[in-house]
Amino acid sequence: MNKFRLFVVIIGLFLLSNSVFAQDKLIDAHFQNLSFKEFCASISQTNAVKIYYPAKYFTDKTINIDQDQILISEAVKLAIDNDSFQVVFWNNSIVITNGKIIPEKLELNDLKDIPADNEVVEPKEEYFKSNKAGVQRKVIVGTKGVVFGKTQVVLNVHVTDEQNGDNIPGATVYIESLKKGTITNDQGIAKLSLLPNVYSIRIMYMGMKEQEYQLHLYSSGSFTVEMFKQGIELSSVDIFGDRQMNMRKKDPGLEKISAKLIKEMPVMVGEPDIVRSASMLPGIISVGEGSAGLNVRGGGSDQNAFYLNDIPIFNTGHLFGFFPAFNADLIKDFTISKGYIPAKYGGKLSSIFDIETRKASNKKFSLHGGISPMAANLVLSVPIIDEKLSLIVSGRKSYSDWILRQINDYDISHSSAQFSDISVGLYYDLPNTQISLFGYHSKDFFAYSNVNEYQYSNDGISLKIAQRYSKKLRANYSFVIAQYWFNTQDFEEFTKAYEHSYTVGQDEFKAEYFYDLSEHQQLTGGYHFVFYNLDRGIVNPIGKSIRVPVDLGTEKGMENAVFIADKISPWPWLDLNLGMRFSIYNPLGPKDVYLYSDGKTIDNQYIYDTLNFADNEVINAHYFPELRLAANITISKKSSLKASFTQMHQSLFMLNTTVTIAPSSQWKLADYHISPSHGNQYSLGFFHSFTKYGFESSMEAFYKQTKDYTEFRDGANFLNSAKTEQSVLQGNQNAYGLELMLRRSGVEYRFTGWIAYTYSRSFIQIYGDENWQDINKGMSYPSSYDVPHALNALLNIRLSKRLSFSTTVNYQSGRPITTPISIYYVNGVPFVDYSERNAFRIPDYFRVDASLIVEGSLKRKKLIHSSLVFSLYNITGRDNPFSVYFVANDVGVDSYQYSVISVPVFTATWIFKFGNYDAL
Amino acid sequence: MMRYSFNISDKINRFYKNNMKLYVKFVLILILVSQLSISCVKKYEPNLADSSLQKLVVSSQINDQEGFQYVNVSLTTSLVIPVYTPVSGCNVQLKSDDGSSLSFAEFEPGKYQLWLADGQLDKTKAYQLIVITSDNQLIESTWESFYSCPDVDSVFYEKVLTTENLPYGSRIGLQFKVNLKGQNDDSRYYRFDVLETYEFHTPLPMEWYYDGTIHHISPPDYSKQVCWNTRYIRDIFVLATDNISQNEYLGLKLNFTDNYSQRLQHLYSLMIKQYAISKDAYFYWNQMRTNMHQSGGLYDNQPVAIKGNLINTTFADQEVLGYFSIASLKEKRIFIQPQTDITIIDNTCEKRVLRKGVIEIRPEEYPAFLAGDEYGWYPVLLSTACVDCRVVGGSTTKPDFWPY
Repeated sequence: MNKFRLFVVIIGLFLLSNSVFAQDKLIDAHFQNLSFKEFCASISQTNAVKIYYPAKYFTDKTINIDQDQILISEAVKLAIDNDSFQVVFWNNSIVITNGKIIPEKLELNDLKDIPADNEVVEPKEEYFKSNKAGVQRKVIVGTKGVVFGKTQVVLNVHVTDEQNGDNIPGATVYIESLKKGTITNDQGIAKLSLLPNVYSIRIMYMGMKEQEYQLHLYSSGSFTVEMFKQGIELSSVDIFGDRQMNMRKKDPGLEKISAKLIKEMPVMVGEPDIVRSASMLPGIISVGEGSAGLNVRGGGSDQNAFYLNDIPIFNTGHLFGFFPAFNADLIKDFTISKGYIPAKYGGKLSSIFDIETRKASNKKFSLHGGISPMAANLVLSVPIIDEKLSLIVSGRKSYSDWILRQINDYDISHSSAQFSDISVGLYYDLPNTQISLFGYHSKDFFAYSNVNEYQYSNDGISLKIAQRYSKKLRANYSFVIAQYWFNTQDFEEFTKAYEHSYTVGQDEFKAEYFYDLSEHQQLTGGYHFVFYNLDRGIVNPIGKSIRVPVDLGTEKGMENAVFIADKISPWPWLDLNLGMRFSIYNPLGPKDVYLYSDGKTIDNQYIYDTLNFADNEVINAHYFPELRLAANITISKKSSLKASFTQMHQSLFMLNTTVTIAPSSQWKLADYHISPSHGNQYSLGFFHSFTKYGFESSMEAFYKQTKDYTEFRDGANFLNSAKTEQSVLQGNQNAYGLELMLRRSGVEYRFTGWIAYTYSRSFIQIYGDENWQDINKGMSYPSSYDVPHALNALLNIRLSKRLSFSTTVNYQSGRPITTPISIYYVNGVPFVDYSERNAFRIPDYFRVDASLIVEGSLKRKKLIHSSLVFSLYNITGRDNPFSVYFVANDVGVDSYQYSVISVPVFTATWIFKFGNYDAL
Repeated sequence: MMRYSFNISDKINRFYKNNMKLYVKFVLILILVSQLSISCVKKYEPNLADSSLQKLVVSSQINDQEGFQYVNVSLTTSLVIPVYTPVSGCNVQLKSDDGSSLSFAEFEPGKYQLWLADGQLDKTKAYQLIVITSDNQLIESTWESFYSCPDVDSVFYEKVLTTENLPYGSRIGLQFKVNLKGQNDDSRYYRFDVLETYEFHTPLPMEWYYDGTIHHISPPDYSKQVCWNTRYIRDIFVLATDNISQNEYLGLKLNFTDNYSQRLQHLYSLMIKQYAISKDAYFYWNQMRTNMHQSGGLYDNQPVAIKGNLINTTFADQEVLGYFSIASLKEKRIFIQPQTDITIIDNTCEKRVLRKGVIEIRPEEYPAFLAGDEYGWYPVLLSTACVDCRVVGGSTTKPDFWPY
């Protein structure tokens, strides 16, 4: 149709902040048996040069070049091996034409015709169509009539996502003629000092269409660029441009997963799951099927904070972890801090999972939904006031009970499992202020026959205000109210049947200020207030139960913290984060605190006095001055060395006698007797990129010491008494490990994925002066989440544009358990003697999953799009033991292992969508 | 205000013209699994090197009833092939806090006994058990005291059809329960021992047997056809009323007796022994019970290494298992009449047809009992349990308390 359509655009992978845009330069060219397309891709990738060529002439070409130190253009000429083609270096691109000459310089527009300030002039339609590769729209910045001079002016380019108006940090803004470029900051703004002139300016961001403008710069000013997604991009937001996605540049111990990658991983019932995906990363281990918990760097599952737009989420799974609690369609960005934890965060020992949702588009209305036999979901995005106020609503509800009723088993058909969640986000954008109000509610109901019933809900509201006071000073304020509610009803023994509800409230206020001292230094400081409010509930008898109600009481606590951090790059090869956080934790009344005689067992019989604290009276104070330090030393263009030191503490923890986050788990605040746990973490890492093949590698070692770790005493039952101090002991937890990762990513590769291996150990030691103060006789023992070896591999293969295959392999050492070691007889009845705590291990865990995604036609404007997802979970059918237990028989002891998913589970999911891909 | 609404309607128009983005995604999920249930429980062989360190086990529960009191001293044994390993030659003493002590005498390897007359132990005193092994290790218990025990309240049963997944299908039986009615000055902690005694019959008398030649017993020997067996129920029944307002409890589950034996076919008797114990003893037995009833599953508590109340004062690092307790005891015996509406399934008597005659009988099976009548034998080999009730653990001596 149009002869310029011959030009095929090969998109190179641009390395981000430090991308240097090549002109013709010397390279070492070694290519064997490549197609011309592959050759161009390779050149583009390693040299950040685009190559435009008429594809039809080069389809059958095989490239073999083996030369050192030749110019790129020479290499291209060698590859073409045909004199009728010209190779021109133009606009930082190589253009191969058959005879047409491309002008080196563009004509200047007549300045008299330039319209008013900051106006983007859309090119004429014909021009747009006829010159797709080099399309240039005109943009005028500054005041008309100012003569070109020698004084530099400042240009601010604000890069946003056309879809939702989000700022795009990490986008590259580049001036061709000056070979000068920069990247946008986290407000999406790139600042350039230039002489007034006419420039060709390009804005690039991976996963987005490159934008190119003819910039007429008269004086200081700014303009906004909207970036569009690439045409074949499906339902995802990529964040390749983010510094934290680059192993070499990211902060130590920080992981970031793109929503796209989460969706590509094989899953059991077709629901993408961020929590499961996270467990594919080094140092993060899933507790197991049937639980949403994660163990990060040898820490307990309660040592992780999950924030959804700053709302703390206490239970991250629906149906006990089989389904994710967040709608994957809504997630924009997901960051895990497990090593260096920025000073603005506090309150958890192991990690911070920060989940940010997609903003509503402030321009376009969109509605999409999904229906499956199990659940339905809907996402609605409405701009209310154009470019200012917008609303996004997302909801999910399950109705899967009808499936259970079909199952020919009384207990299952009389069971029920339901969940729902809803998120509402309201966004208001002003020139210097952005306000967002976000609410989240999730609810789960699970009843097993007439044996027991569980319900839980997470609720939260966050109000965030981002304010810009000046070019250098800005602030974020957030107000958060969150509550977690859990209810258990247990009918198993009718005389001891009970009902118990508890709530955990966590309200926060945070003020965070950013001040740019210079291009190389940013100061951050702020104040963080957390108010914890626990109603531990009353264990109430139900039915014919003759249990005595046990009031577990209420607890309150507050934490005040100030923090300051300096992000500084004194030299180009060194990035430093120097942070300090000072927290005071106070348990608050009303509370009756029992005092126990010194040296006696903490038990009712040794109570000698009671202290009564009035409402909101401070019971005591714990001070935590914490350092947060990180250094990133660039050794070469391809490698860097990172070190960090982080101090953390935790006042809210879980009382748990089982491995998982179980219904019997209770949340508890540090109090008069139980101190908050606190610890230090040291980490050291080395990172290297193998740019030629697109590989990145990392190696990170950590050592973690935790004091005042809370562990249950032998046979503890936390439902029987409000005096938790009688059931727990405190001691030390130490963990150390080494994490290795090799990753390949990038849209140009057919094979992508990663392999991650973690060696880590986690030990607990609890001892005191008296026997009763010891666990395991005061000797160190492995914690129940001590998993020495973990190996996770992910492989994605793009078979064609419409067909992709993905497979994962998970291996981890078995978790420690306490096992029987011998038998002894009492009254002729055999009993079992158990080992020391956690002295043995269950068998290793190994699982392979695979999925195949078949996309329908990729035409954008098609009304119905359908895709098929075939996935096979646990291909080898290995019955991975979740736990091992023992039952005495007539002779000795029978050992059994319990596996949650012990067979291969095949699911075929047919997704068909009415509507336009643009809607995503 | 007006301007505002105008803007909105203008916007809506724009949506439908240009920017309306809408789609609905339908997801059909087909799940195929090779079996209905995807979770699984299977036998697991733990890779345990048999613990070379054998621990001493001392167990004793002294009660306030007249009679022999016992102390057992043994060693722990292999998990896979457990063998009771008694420890002989110990010097065992019961020491009172007034300084006096009583010695036990060994009557069987590892078993020590002491006759206590009614009221011989002063219930206001505390007691300690001392064991000195033959290699002079000194084992001492903590001091234990008596707590008062109410009479055993009613013991009753409920007929239950269990829906458990058993290899042979469902089973029916009687679930026994006990009520407790205590006073405020009685103990808040109890342990129950249950002894069952049942009568059972072989289907046939001894009449024909083969030991190389065929023998005929005439008249048939009916003396081994009726037996009585008494044994402890291998379970731990404990009760705490410290979290119940009154010192009362209704329907504590005791043993379940099913239809897969002759227990409910003839007369059946239970002896319930109710011990008033200390809180520590309750804590110990309750932990033992918890560990005994491990059932795996997702949210079960972890088992714990249970500490008793005995320590080795010679080698402080050598753990001693077991518990020494002093308890007031009340007993109650009940009888259960034959349950005519319950179908008894009893497979202890096995018959085998001898197709080739007695030459099929191997010498190690001698004497081999054969079916027959007064006129002759049939080529049917009977297991010994068909004619001699003693081989399944009974005695032909009727217990004294048996009513008929």
